[in-house]
Formats: sequence, structure tokens, C-alpha cells
Amino acid sequence: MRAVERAAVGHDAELTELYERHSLWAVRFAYMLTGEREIAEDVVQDAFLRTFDRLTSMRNRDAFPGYLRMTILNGVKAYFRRRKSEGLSLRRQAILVGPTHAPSAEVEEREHLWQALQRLPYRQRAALVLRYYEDLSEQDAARSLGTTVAGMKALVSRAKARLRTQLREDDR
Amino acid sequence: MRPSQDLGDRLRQVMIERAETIIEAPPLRALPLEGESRPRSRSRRGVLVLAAVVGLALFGAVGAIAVSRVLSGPSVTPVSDRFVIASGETDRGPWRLTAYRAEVKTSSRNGDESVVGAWCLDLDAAWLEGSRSNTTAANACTHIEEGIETPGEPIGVTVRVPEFDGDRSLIYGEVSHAVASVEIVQEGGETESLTIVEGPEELNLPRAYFTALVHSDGDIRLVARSANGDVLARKRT
Repeated sequence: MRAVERAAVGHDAELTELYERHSLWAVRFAYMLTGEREIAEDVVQDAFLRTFDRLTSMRNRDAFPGYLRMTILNGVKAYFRRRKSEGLSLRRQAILVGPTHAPSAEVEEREHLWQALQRLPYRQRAALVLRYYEDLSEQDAARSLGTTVAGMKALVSRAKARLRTQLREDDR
Repeated sequence: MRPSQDLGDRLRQVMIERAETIIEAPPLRALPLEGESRPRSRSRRGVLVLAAVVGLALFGAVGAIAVSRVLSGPSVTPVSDRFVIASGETDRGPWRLTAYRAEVKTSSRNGDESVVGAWCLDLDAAWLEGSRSNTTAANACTHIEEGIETPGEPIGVTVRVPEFDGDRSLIYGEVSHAVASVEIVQEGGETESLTIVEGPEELNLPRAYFTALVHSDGDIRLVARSANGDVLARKRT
């Protein structure tokens, strides 16, 4: 029986516990990267299956969250690559419950920022998520994205410049 | 969020707020977790409504949908009359855009089936490549949860069909009832104001709708306004 099957039927308390401990964080993290909750959940399910299968070769179990993060990043990257190659243009939209009255300027600004974030190229968005949502150091964020510290700095800088431009355009 | 705030701080705040709309993760999907037999349930506090674009082939490669992995083979059964939002004729034939209430049956990867209530939009245009009219597959369905009142986002599902009528694109979508008008702003700044179409009272449609035929293959911005002209939302398509 594979690790994930043991976890799924509750035969492996450790795996079940790992899922319960990390799944909410994982879905939220993937949602930051995809902007689409259903896709995030799908990517996270696959990421857990893959990471569980690698668990036996993982010498230090404390490394589990790091492995999971990398697997989610790879899963999201693969998803966007697939979507691009298939020419997918329609996006699922999670409609959040909002106020019945007109949104305040502050709410509107936050909405614009979120939408602008979703329009960034994948690596730029991932760089911002790792630095500002995950609060990783430049070194750790660079390692997660498979780049150098200088590369990470450049990604963040380009992403922020692009966000500022998009926000200015939205205000026009 | 103060405008003078550092962009990094503003990003952090926005991302945390968005993340916190998710308050639970689904159970491991391969099999139910120990002691659990309940189906996947969505958070009732954060995301209450999910727009699920279901039709797969209508727009060919451009319109293929990103959710086929999540909703495997959904089937849509209309359970109300259809409200005709707009109709017309192109050189290639007639078209009609309708809204109706439906039951959407979905299957998860482990074979569990569930039926959810939804409001769907259909573009019937038999001459479009791959079109499936008569709603064996809807174009766009918004999943609704019974008994929960929610206004939804000012601009909901939007669909764009390039080269629908000659070189004109058809753009249509949903808006909340708080929206009185929608403007389309093209790349060159050309702006067109559209009328919002409300359904008949007896259908009790949760959303209103807009349609437009525009000469543009570039970026288009939609601006939703309230009756007194305030901007409620902006969206690119």
C-alpha cells in the first residue's frame, strides 16, 4: 500500500497528522499563486500525494513543509504551462461575499491590487508571494524558486514595478 | 490601507486577507480520511459562490476551460424557463444568449457525485465551431448555495468570443443588481456604455446581465457603475 493510501484510510497516523497540520496553509499558499481556489485545492491534493510518496526517503521530517512548498510551486507552474499551451483564456472566478453598498476607495484599491497581482507572470507573482505572504528570506525564497538571491531581487523589483504601472493604468 | 503605505506592506495585507477567506482545507481526496465519510464541503464563511465555467468546446482553443480536472464531466439540467438576454443574427447564422436555473451534476476523481444548484448562461449559436446548444453543456454556471443571500461581486463571470460577428468580438457577463451600467473601455480609450438587462421578476434571477459586440482584439476594460455613477468594480477581459 502506498503512503498516500495508508494516510487516506487512516492507517498511518503520521501522514494523516501531516495532512491535517499543513493542508490549510498549503491551500492558502496555492490560492495566492493561482488566484483560483478550486485549482489551488487540486494542486495541493497532488502535491500531498507526491510528497507523501517521497516521505520514506526524507531523512529529516522537519523538511516536510519545505518539500511541500516546492512541490506546490512546481504544480502551479505546470498548471500555468498547461493552460498556456492549451490556449485557455477563461478563468474560474471565486466570487467573494461583498458589501451590498458601493465599496469604499480602500476596498476598491485592495481589489485592484489583488487583480493586478493575478495578472503578473507566474515567476514574478510567486516571488512576491514567497517574500510577502510566506515572509521567506531572500535566500529561502530564491532557493524555493530555483534562482539566485540576485535573481530573486530582480524578480521582486520587476514585479513591483509592473504592479505600480498596472495600478496607475487602472486609476486612469 | 493608506496610499502612502509601502507596496510590500499593502501586498502582504491583501494576500493575508484573501488567504483568510479560506478557513478549511478539503479532506484528502483519494479516499476519505479516517472516521470521515462526509463529502467535500465548502467554507460557508469565505467563498460562498463559485463561478464554474462548464462548457468546454464552445470557443475552440480560445475558450477551453481551466476547470475540467476539477469538474469531470459535469452535466447541466435546466430546471426553469429560459430568459432571453439578447439575440441576433450574423452572416453565419442566428444566436441567442439565455439565462436559466439548473442542476449541475459533478463527479470527483474518486467517483463521488454531487448535484448543486446553479444559474447558467448559454450562448446558442449552432454555427460556432464546437457549439453545444440545447444545454447538454452550459457555457457558464454560477454555483449557488440555497438559502444564502449574497450580492456577489459587482462583475461576475465574463466571457469573450473573438471574431463572433466578422471581426467583432461578443462580450457578455453577469453583474450584481447594484450595478446600473457597464462601460467598455478599449485600448485606445474608446468608451461605450452598455445597458444592463434584468430578468423578469418571476424568475428571481440573482444577477443581471450585459452583452456587447466590439471591434477589438486587444485588452478591454469593463467598468461597473452604480445608479449615481460611482465605480463599483473594474475588470479586464
